[in-house]
Amino acid sequence: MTYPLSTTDLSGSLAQASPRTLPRETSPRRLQRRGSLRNAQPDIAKSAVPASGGLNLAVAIFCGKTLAAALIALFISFWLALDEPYWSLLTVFIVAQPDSGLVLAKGFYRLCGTAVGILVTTALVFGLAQYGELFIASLAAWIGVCAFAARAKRNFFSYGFQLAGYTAAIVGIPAALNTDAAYTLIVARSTEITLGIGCMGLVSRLVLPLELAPKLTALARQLFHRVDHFAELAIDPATRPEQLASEREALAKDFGALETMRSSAFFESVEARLMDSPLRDAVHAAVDLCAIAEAVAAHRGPDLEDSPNSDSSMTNANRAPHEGPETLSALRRAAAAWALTRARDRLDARSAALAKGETVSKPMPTAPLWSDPLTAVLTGIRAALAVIISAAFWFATAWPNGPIAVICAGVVCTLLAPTPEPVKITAAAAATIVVFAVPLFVTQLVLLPYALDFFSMAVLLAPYLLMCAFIIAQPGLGALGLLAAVYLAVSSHIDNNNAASYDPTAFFNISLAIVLGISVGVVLFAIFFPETPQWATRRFLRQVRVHLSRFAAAPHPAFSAFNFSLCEQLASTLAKLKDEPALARDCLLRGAIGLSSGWAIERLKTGMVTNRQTADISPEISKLLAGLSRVYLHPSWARLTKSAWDARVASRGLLAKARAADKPTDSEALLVFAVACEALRSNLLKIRLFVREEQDVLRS
Amino acid sequence: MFSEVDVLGAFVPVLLVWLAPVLVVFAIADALLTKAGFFRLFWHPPLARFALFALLFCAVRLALGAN
Repeated sequence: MTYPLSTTDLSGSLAQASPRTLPRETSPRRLQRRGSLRNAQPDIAKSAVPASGGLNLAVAIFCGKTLAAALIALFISFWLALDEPYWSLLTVFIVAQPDSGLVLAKGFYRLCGTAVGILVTTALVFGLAQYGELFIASLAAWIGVCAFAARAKRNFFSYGFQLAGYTAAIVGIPAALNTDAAYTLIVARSTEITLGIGCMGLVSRLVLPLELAPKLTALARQLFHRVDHFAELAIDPATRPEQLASEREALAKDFGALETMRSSAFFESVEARLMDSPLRDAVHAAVDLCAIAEAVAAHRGPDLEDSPNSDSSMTNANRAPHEGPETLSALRRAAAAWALTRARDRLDARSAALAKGETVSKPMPTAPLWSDPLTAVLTGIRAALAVIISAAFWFATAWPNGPIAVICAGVVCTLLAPTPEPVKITAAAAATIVVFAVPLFVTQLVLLPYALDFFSMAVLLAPYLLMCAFIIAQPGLGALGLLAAVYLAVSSHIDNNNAASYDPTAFFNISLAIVLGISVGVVLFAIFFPETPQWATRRFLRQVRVHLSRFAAAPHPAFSAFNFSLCEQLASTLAKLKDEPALARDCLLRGAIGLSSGWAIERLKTGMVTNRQTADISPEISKLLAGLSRVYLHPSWARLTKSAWDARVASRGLLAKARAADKPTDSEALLVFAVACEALRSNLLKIRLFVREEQDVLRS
Repeated sequence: MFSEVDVLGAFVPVLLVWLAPVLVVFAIADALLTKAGFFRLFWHPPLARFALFALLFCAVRLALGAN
């Protein structure tokens, strides 16, 4: 029997995924074959989406595994006589994920984050514990810095920073309140957290493992298929803009899902790690093909210059005296097809190499992902404010449960800041505590007193723990299930004391402290620079402009890295705009402009250096490129019009040069540069329309 | 339950000291065996990997713990 993750199986499915197997021509026979591929799409999509939601077998297995891991961790903690075993139970729920690769990735970053957090806690507790206000201020500053770094990073790397931040609060505040036992407490927390990660990792990997690699393969296959289809649509003059827009959206979503999965699969196994580099190469090639397709699609559609506000001289400049628009259009289409064919060949080579587990060229360096410094700074300040405000309330009222409120406020503001709608999610978290107070009250104060030994305690805890695991498995509700588990761990205090206490007043006090901490988070998310969908859109557009400007100014722009980062940013922004289709369309359109402009700039810069045929018109191209950086950063109607004019002049020169070229290869290369100029011009005119719209909105 | 080791004035469990060399040896062995296709011989490669780790851990414990 072959194991589902064997490399043989992987190679087979990737060989099927290779765009080489996909048809290129548009003959009826080919179209029929392509039709059959399209019909196969839903199956691919189904296999790529993590199985979750509702009560199905995968969810049932996940719930069973999580319960088993939690009880094993709890048992070992009791056996090792650790003072607060509930920490290991809680950690199991924190790292619990349906896929084993995700558990290992999350566990690894949790370990790293906890280690850093523990070191900082040690420094803060032993240095400042005797000065309460100074300790809280330093803690708030540390949480703020970690929240800032977490927001500037992605995926589980970001999670590591979050952990480093709030571990200092979770461990530091109790340790500072009891400095005599601080070191013992810090070591105990570290041991319990490590034990929880180890138990969940082992159970997840050894018992009915759900691996990421097959899903990753299916998603890569789906992405390559979509990119190929998108390229076909881009070059087909009969394609409607809505068709392109919907394909673009699907592409961005697939890319986002693939990237999240790829970064986690790295931790799963050596096979997944070996696949990482060729997969990254193939994804880069797919994104590059996408950018070229966008550039080809950029100058299709309605002629923007025919609008009443356009400069009529530019329209006339397009037409050489001896050439009609049809001839020019045919030439450009031929050049575009040539550029697309080259990009497709590159993707073919990369995906064939991926199927064999090889890298075609030297491994592609990891593209630096974009981050928005303003949003990150605001997240940091918000988290620090949450700690300070709740600590002020604690100090003013001398409430014994105040530390829980401080911890909850810091954790909520750090953990939920990157979610699409933090106000709603945080309010839902507060509501979860209120709703779960009833089953937890029953479990803790009615059922648990009947527990005589570990086995009976496990049986009594099982329904509540299964309920938490079930909610974690539901898409979009995972954080609430985790919160319910945290609620159990914090309020029940399952510990190694011989005399267990069942105190309803303490239970309600703890519940109130948690709700208060979360409420501070809700208020801050709602009033302190709220991150609405409009905010996310504005920041994305700003980032596209800034990075495009830097790209245009760079002497040797890294095209693949730019495309990759833009697609990643687009995918993460679109995830926040699920309920705002108009804003999502706007982002997609600007993303497409960024991709095609990036390709055009890179083509022209490379062409000026490598192609001696461009020597005669290099002053025009240089003039165009020199002004672009400033135009993208500070766009205005006049600057955009001037740059579009420069692009038109360069394009006309390149077309004339291509017509006069002796060799067909020279002619083809020059035509590709002309297509790049046309794409730039078209994009500049589109940006000009956006600038006008924004000005109109501001005036009204 | 487990003895502790003094690392720069801090007492850390001896398990942690054993774990560090085991992880290094395991990472190298795992990569080499995967490239050689060793784990394809097993129905459940993660279980085989875990068994390998347990063997290495016990071997290191015997080697270091004997002193």
